[in-house]
Amino acid sequence: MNENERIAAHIRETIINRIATHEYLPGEIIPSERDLAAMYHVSRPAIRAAIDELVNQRYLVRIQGKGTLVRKPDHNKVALGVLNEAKNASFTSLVRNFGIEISNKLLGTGLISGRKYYAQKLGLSPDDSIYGLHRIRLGNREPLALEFTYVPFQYFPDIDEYNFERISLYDYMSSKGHLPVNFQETMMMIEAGDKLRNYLQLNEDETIVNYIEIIGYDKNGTLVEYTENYSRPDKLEVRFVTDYN
Amino acid sequence: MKKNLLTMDILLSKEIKCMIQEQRYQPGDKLPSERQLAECFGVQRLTIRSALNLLLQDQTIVAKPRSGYYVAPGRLLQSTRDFSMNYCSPKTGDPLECRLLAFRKMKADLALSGKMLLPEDTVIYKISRLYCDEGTPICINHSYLPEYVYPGLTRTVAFSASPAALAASQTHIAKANQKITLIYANEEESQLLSLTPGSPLMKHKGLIYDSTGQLAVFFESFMLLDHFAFIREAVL
Repeated sequence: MNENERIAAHIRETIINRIATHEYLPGEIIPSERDLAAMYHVSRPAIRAAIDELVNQRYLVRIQGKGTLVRKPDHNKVALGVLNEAKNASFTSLVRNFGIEISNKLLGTGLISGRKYYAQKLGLSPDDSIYGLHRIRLGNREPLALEFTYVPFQYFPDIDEYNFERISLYDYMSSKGHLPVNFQETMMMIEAGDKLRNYLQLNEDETIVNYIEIIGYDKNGTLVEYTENYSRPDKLEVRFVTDYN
Repeated sequence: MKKNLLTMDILLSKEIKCMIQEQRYQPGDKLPSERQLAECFGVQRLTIRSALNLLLQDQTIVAKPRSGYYVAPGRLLQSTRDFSMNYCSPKTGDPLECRLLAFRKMKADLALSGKMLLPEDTVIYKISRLYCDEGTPICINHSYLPEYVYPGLTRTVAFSASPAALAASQTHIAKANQKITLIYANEEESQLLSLTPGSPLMKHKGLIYDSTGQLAVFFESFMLLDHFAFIREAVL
């Protein structure tokens, strides 16, 4: 690798990192070639080579008269919906590779009542009905995460009529005026038992999974979601952005 | 609508969690025996065993051979907004012992500058620490503070406060991007943490920025899986 190639590779890596850490957001115009050259103390041809490569790799797109933009992910290829689309979105499990098609497989749905643990998590009394939704989240038809979601039935009385393999749960919750927008989350790594390993199709030697527990509140501060999410650490990564304003 | 959404082992594991909470079991307390639990919940011992297994996997409890099940020490909770690193032992509540591994002024090489998103050869201070809980090493932290953030940083000052606090004394911290991944311990990490090489570790990486968007601190922590959990509070 000559000096110019080495610099281009470094610039490329830096820009990819900035996209990955959401410093450059999808649709955002990145600094001009001239500004980047000044920023990194390198020549403009080196910058141009780096950007050309990133355009080829579909990280960036050039738009005539506008500049170079971070490519927006296709609509059905966005980050796994363990989380909200809200700004400043908390723990976000992102699909490591861009361009993965997300789908859901329903494991089971049903009403639960008289179960203290779930009632406590949702701030309900033990006799209140809770609706449970167990899903496997798939990326390119391969399991990424196992997700157990519980919602207070009183806010979603017709929930059983919907098929959440096709419909987004958050779209549905939003239509009822109870979209979770505020989250309290706990994330840890735990050992996976046989059942979990089966669901996530983990190999014998892959024994650790990400575990995220999510409590979601709607805009009025009502507790509307309790979720347990188990995901493959090799396919999903846990990121979070914190703003101190 | 299916009737049995929740399987017996899951339900029982949750019941036991409630029991631990309601009956105020403390870390280190012994749980009733498998036989007693089976009687108490009116199920087969095999069913209780699979419920206990789930609790062993998420480290709610620990098993001691030929003795029984005990409430686990609990995890150190790391808030995603708090970089003070004032870790306290979940066992004793006392501050963790912090050993200073290294302090050095250096120029960022290609790999490091790529991670920090800074130009190569930027002058930085590297500060390494090791956290121990009752003598057991549980976390390695490498922090990188650019010289432009804290010109003339000395070893004494570097170890007087957390890198984020040092940065905050010089500039206004505005934003942090963090990432948690599973890695397998290399030679150095396994030696420092007294593990066999290849043991799974949680890696916590973060980039902390000031209000002008300039990098203030970059850090990488390598943590024992069963000793930490991350929490993000809802803003209500």
